[in-house]
Amino acid sequence: MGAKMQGDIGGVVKNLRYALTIICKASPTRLWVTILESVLRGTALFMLDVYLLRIIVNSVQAGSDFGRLAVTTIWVAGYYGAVQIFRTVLQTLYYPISNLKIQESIQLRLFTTSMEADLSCFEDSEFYDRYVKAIQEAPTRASQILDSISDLILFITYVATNGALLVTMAPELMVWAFLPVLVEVLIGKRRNKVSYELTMRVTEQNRKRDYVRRVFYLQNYAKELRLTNIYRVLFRQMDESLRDICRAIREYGLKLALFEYVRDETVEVLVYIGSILWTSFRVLTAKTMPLGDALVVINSISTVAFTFQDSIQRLFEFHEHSLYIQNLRYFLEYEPTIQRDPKGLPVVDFRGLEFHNVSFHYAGQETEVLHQVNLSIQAGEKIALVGQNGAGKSTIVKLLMRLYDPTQGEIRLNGVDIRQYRLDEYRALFGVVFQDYRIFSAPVKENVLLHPCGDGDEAIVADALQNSGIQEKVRSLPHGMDTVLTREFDEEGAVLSGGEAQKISIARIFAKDCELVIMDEPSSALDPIAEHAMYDNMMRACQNKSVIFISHRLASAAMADRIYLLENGRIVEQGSHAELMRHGGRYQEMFSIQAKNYGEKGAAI
Amino acid sequence: MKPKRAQAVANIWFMLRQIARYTPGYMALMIVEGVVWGIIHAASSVIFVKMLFDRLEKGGPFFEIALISAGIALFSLLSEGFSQWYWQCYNSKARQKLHRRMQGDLCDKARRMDLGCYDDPAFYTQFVWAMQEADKRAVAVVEDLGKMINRVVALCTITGVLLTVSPAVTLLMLGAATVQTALRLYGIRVRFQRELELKPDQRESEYAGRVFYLAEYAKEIRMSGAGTLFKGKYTDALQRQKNTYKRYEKRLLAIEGAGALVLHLLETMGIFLLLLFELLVRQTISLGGFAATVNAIWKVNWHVSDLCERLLKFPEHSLYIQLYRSFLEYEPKIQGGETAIPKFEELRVENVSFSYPGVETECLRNITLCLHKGEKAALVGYNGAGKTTLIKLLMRLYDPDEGAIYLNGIDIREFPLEEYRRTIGAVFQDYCLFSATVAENVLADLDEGRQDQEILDALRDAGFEQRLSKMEQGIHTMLGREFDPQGVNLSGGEEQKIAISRIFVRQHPILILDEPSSSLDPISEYELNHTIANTVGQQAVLFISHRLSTTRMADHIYMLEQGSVVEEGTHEELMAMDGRYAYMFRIQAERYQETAPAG
Repeated sequence: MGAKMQGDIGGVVKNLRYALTIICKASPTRLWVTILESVLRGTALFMLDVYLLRIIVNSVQAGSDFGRLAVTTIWVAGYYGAVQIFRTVLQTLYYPISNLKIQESIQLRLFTTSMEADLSCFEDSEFYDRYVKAIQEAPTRASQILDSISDLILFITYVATNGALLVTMAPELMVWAFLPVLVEVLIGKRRNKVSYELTMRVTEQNRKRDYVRRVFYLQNYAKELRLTNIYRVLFRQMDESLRDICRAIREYGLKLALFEYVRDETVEVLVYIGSILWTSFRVLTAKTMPLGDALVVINSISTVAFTFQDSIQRLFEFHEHSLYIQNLRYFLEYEPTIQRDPKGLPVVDFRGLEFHNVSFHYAGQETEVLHQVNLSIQAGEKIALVGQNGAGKSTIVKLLMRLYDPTQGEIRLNGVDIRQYRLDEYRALFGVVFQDYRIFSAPVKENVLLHPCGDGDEAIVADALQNSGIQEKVRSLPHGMDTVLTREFDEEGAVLSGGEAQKISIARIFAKDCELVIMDEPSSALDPIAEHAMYDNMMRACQNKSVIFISHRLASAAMADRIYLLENGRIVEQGSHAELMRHGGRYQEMFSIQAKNYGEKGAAI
Repeated sequence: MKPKRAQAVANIWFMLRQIARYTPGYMALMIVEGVVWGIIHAASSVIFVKMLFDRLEKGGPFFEIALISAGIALFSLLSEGFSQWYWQCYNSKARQKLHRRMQGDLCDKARRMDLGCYDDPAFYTQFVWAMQEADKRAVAVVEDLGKMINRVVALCTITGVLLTVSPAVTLLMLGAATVQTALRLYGIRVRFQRELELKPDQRESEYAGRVFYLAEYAKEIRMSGAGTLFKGKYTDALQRQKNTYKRYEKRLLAIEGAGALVLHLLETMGIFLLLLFELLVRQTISLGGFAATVNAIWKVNWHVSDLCERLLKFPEHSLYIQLYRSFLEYEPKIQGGETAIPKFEELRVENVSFSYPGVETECLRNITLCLHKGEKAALVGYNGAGKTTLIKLLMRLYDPDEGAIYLNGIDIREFPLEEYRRTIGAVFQDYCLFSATVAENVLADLDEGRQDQEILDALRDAGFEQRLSKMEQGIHTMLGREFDPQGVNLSGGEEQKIAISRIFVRQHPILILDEPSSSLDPISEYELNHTIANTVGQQAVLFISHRLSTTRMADHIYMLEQGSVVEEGTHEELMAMDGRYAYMFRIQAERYQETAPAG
């Protein structure tokens, strides 16, 4: 850590400037107010702590009268009090709002970048880790940076004023005050390294223990915990974690204690006691120093030394801040490969989409997920994609929506490569139900619309809920379609079952005025009757729309105009259900296995 | 207020007793450290300064000063040595041991807790808090207490010394400290109130942030207007936070401004003037006394404000300890008996009715069914018919409200709970795997002396063999990344296969399969059904599914509707009856049959 810091001081400064630019834009006066406050506080502390004391003692020695000293005292104490009150005013009226403004500005930038980032970023674990850190720390990090700056300026002011005074009184003692800094330079790096390693070891083990803890309180593990002896495995893992932590403490604890000991005792004994002996000698034996100066030196030298040492430590904080800003910058300056090009072609209508020799592999992976795929969908057509787990069905859908671009070949809308259209308009063509659909912590109607509810939108929501077969349930909720879903932050929020939640996500496509509906295994959480009703509704509501759906259950696929059967990323069979059954290939085989048990002759097993 | 305070004291006392039981040395040393440091702080900052300056003013002798300095140096070297050893070596280890021991007991308690507790949101919230916070609270209580002892000792020492220097200044200081304490306590309470009001809006803005960074929302954000929706919600939540701050700012400014005025302006000015007066006019104090008093002002203020802050944490500590306490005092309702478990012949459910706690409608009504040795039975019905609830009763995760369940004619409540549960092998709809090795996941127990071959066979039966062959460390491969960065993440279907293999690795007399094939593709499902049919001989199997093709091969089928068995019999009998089962079967078969000449 220490070694790295020296290496890229330039980087730290650059990152800090980047952060300060953002902060200044969000809250223009903030930085200057912070600096002003720190300088005022530093000088006020010096005046009261050191300067006043010196004047008083030296005047007393010189035989000064009470009146004059009282006036000085009132001035100094008044200045100090005024600065403190100014600080209180800032802390209640100014800083909290300013912090929120900065937080808002950073978060909104992150949100915008996040919406435009390629989906592949979410699969790149290094990028994703950085991103999550950037966004999680955004609310607090900016004010931490400002705090560090404020502390540092306070220290500098305090050390500078004290130092200046010390030089006029006993310049030779400056050497003393520098001693701890020397120690800090000598052992600081090693100390930080040891402390960092210990923290890493402990954090890692604590993370493991948190996992075990979660297993014991999360509901989805509850049954297995009660029916098996798995708790013995988990307890052993906890013991191993504790053993490892204790080992780490044995390994590093004493070293760390020693470093801290040397660091503290340099100030406590060498500087403090040393300067006492030296000034006492000068006052008593050599008689070259007035008593007031001795008092000031003794009173302030260890504070100066400690503060000096602390400011060096503080510099390491800036290194940590810089690492964070680096993440933030990396993300904010990232350019998505799938661009929102405003100069692209407008999307006027939907006549047909086709895959032309499309191949695809995920970044960093060798094996192709799709190989030379050709398929097409015309306006109004119903298409089914079938195949085993991992055959590439979901990937086709992702390419279709331009969540990824093909590595080879192209996808054409109305005969033109989809990369030439405006991204927003192109994506607006689709209404999608994902296999891993999500319900948001928001009212039902916003969950269906996925935009704020405006005039006349409620009728659309009601229709959509009707079509997806969830209207009755929604009506039974305490506030109807205004009921907030999930208990995330509303204790009264409604919790839906898997099947109900899925119906809400299906309602989204009915509410959206889209040309092409995509359904990725929409029926997995539904029971057979509900599934049947859902498909009937869907086919009716989508009569004039094009539909692409993915399903394990071949009975649903049979409703499609055309079926594509995928195996290992290739289309191995295509055609209508009747054609494929006549063809007698893989499709017919899979269909037979599933149909067998519904046949009249009875089960094979 | 009174009983609340008594309750708080009782809670803190309870926690301290717990800590003393888990790690006695930790607490004792914390108190010693608090007292020793309290005295040292006071001594070095006040007594030493006075002794030193008095001698300097009187002009020596240098020898005495050197002696006192050497004494202080020695004292500092020793106490700092102890302190560093204590914090870096002893305290950090003791804290971890306390965490582990408390967590162990909590986890054990959690494991025995009735499943019904999860359905009670109020209890569940408390339970999660207890699990997450208890050990951290314990440490916080001990450390706050240690620090408070430290502050009190230091304050007493300093006040004692100052009284001998200047009673008037001491009184002024104590008066200011009292006003300061009152204002601070009030201020912190107002701030706490503000935090409470901010909380919901903060949660909402945090949630908006999560929607943008969690991968699971990424597709939806790109394909719909959800991004704009949540940006708007974020801005609104932040605006509400700003308003909350604004609402409180006048009150806080009044309280804290008054605090700053009293503490920093009036007190400082007053004390300095009083000291000057005593020094110059009355000449009752020495320069040493003057310097010591000035030093003491800072110390006293600092100790008082820290004491206030820590004191105010105790009501919150007490709140959490209360949760921890009530969780520890909780006794599960489902208790086992003493009867030894006989060799399995039959499991009989007789007139069982059941409703979930707090829900009016009965979930199961008058259910009677029977499962014999070697029999394969199936429970079918729509979502919400009560199938899953029934198997929870069979496993004694709940006990029936009415009626009873008998194993060979003996009420299952008479058997030891854990042993009874081990007679059942189950695969759940919402199965889950643990971050442990494949072998441990299959056994769901420590891998002690089990033959690798048994585990390999079980995995093969579950259809996991092919995937296993790709794992370098075989059955000792870690699953999940929590414990091992090289751990393997499996797909849903693969995970389910491991969960299924659990039923093959042991000879459970009873097997329960709750939709085991839901995330398998048609071929894997077919193979699984085949294996189960071949593996079970003497075992009784209970299937649950809403895919009737999976269950039709059962010896006996129970059709559930709204918590009651509406039809039962073999597939042929039920089809002949032409009732609810036949209707459901036909709807599912329809789409296969009308287009499936080959079936």
